[in-house]
Amino acid sequence: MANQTNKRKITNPIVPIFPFENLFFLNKSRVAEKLPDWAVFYIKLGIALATFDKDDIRLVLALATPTRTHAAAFITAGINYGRSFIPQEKTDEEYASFIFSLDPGTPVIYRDLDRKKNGVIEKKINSPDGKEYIGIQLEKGQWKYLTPDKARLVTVDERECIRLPAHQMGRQITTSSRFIRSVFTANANEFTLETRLESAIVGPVSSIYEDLETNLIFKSEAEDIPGKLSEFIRGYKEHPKGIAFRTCISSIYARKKPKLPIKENPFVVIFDGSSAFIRSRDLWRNQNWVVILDKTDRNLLYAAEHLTYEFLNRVEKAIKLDLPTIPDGIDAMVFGVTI
Amino acid sequence: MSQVNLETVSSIYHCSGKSTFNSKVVKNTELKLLSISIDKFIRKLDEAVSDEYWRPVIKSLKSLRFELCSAPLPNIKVIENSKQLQEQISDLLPTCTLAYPNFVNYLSSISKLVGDVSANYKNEIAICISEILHGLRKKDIAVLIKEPRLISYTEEVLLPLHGSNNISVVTPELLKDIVCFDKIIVIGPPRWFPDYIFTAPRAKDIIVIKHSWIKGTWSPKSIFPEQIKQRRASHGLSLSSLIDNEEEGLEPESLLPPILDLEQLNKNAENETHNQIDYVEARGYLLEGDWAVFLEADDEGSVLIIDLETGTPRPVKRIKMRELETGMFLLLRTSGGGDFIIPVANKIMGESAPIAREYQQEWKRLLRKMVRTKGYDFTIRKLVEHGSRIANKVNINNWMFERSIRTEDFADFKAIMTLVGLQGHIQEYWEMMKHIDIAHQQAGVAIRKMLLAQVQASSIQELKRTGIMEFSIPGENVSITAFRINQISDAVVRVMPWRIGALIKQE
Repeated sequence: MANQTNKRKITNPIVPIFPFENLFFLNKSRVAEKLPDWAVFYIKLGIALATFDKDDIRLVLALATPTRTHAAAFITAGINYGRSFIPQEKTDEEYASFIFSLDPGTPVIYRDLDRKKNGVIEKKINSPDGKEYIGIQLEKGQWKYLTPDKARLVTVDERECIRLPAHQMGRQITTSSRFIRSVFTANANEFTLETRLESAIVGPVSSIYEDLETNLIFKSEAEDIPGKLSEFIRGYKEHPKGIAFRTCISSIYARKKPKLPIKENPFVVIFDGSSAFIRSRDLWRNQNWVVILDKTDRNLLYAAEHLTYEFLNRVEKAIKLDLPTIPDGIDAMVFGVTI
Repeated sequence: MSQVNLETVSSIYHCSGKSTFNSKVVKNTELKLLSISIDKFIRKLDEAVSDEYWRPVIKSLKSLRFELCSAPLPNIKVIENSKQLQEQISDLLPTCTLAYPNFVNYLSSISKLVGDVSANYKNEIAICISEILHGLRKKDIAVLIKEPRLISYTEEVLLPLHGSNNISVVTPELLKDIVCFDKIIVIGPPRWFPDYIFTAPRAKDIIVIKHSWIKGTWSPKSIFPEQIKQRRASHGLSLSSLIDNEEEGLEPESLLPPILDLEQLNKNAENETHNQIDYVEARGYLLEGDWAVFLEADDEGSVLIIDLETGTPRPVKRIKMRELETGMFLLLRTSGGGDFIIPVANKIMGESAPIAREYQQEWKRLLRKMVRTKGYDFTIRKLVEHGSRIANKVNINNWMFERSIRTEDFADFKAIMTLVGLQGHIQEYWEMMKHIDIAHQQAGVAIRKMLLAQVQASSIQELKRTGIMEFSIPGENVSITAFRINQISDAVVRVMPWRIGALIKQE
């Protein structure tokens, strides 16, 4: 069965303004400085792309930049931020109905306070008080019974079947950091605890991971809260199995899409560099694209040629996208392609 | 690769948005006359310009002309080069009088003009740079030149001009880095340099110095067919308007130094393959420093390179031939010629190396003899009869070639041994080839480790700047050199096996 693309119905999501005024980085003299204009641009660009919603069209946004470094990371940060405020695909009632309709024996993951445990749907029961409960077996001889309002504690495990242990401690869940809570406010826990494949970055992996190590500071009136750029990205490989992620990072040499524990395609793929785009574009033909081309790259014009070919097959109707003003030195092009 | 601070990255964006461009024109009447005369002479020669007779002197003329307008050469170098050129022309004149009497006057006139240039050389480029630097204090300045081999001469001339400034002589590759200067002084017309020097500038102020008789028009190429409008017009447009040349001039491309002609190289190589048996299909690569090499045109074959552009912490790696790109650095043996793995593998095998190599050469020699006497069709048919699954001309050529150790499949090896009359020694030969194979793999790992350590200890900046760097394998009389790939031939040609990996220098 083909993977589903992570598309959720967007009905005027309200994306709070990103707290640019509070975000700082440490310069070479270890003095806190506001995020530079170009980084702000990339985050805003990501947020603008996050709400692109056309079922039959995928977006291609191409940028030619004076350097590729950090561009993919900041754009992805904006995308993940923006997408986190898009409502869940299902309302609470719809989700509860979905969980309660699962067949007995369906493997699930149950969030037990700060731990994630493997479980299996057991049965539905109606208590004498008229409430409906869903039973989940966690261990031999141990069940959990949940009411519909607790349905969000359960997610479907993509594995076909699992064997429950005699006893399980579960895996520690990393709750949201103070840094993420400061930026995301109300959404922080959901951002940290729920897996949704919002983005994929394809590029020189070691350079990308270097970029993600960038230290940031959230300055509030009370205190300075340290964090890292990687906290916005929540890349799959950095997190132990079972911990929520939002992005997967793939090498330019990969011949296949990365293997992930969820059957989902990312909402957008960011090609970090000409080589990434040239080598990998055919793997991601059904996703929205952001193509970052470094103007000093030896393959710049070759990549631009391929983009021009895509451009020639574009849809004629204009793409409505509220893009931020493009800084000097960056060339940009955007168009839509029929899926 | 260490993490780049956002402040450093910011300086790049700041440059891109706010760089200013200026130009300075230098005048040198003697050089102008010489350049135009050389141009007229080449046009007059027409097709004869590629004759063996004329090629050396044309190359020398073009080289001198290019050097004089692309770098602030020391006086002594100009005098020396001019004298050599005049001697070269003088040696040519007697035969020219007999064979090409119409060109004697041209040659004589050019020789005199060379003398005039040398006698009146004032190093106008250096004077211009000195004027630009006047009054500057504690600035980071890059002087950009086109040709890496002129770096040392440029550095020599600029040394007295430093003052409190930090002056670096750079080539275009270094301006891809995350680095920002206060000023870049570009020596030569803009069209000599990649677009990114001006479209992704690494300085707030860029000054182009060029001679008055070289055309300086340039405009940035659009990267995308349709662009979203920016806040203000691209600074690139202001660059072309600043270099508006009122005089008639020579096209910048015509002044570039002659490079090895890949097409000619291919033709020469093909002419050598006088018999159809001992050849390998290969592709030509033009390298930095007027070098070239042929490598096997086997897309699945692999080669050792240094790749500085993908930011990997392990820049020394083995990649498939089809992944080779311009800008990568090929690692080639520069002492002894041929594969650098062989001597290291032989050392690993120790005392068994000579006998192992004898075994290797023996079955290949017999296979080549079979093909030479009986032909390919017969050989293929017989190999198939003896159990080979993939016997064809391409594979037989690979098997005959010294650089391949053995067949991948035992069945093919058994078929070969049976065909050449060594059926009683199949297992013995197979084990010996396995022994060589293991030694080669171990040698490959050892060499890669050693090179990685040397690359990490060396100045990557220097490698990027000059495009060539030599490394040595400790304990071995083997030197390996990294050459930047400047051009890759599309054509696949037949070359003699010994040409593979053997460096060719421009004559």
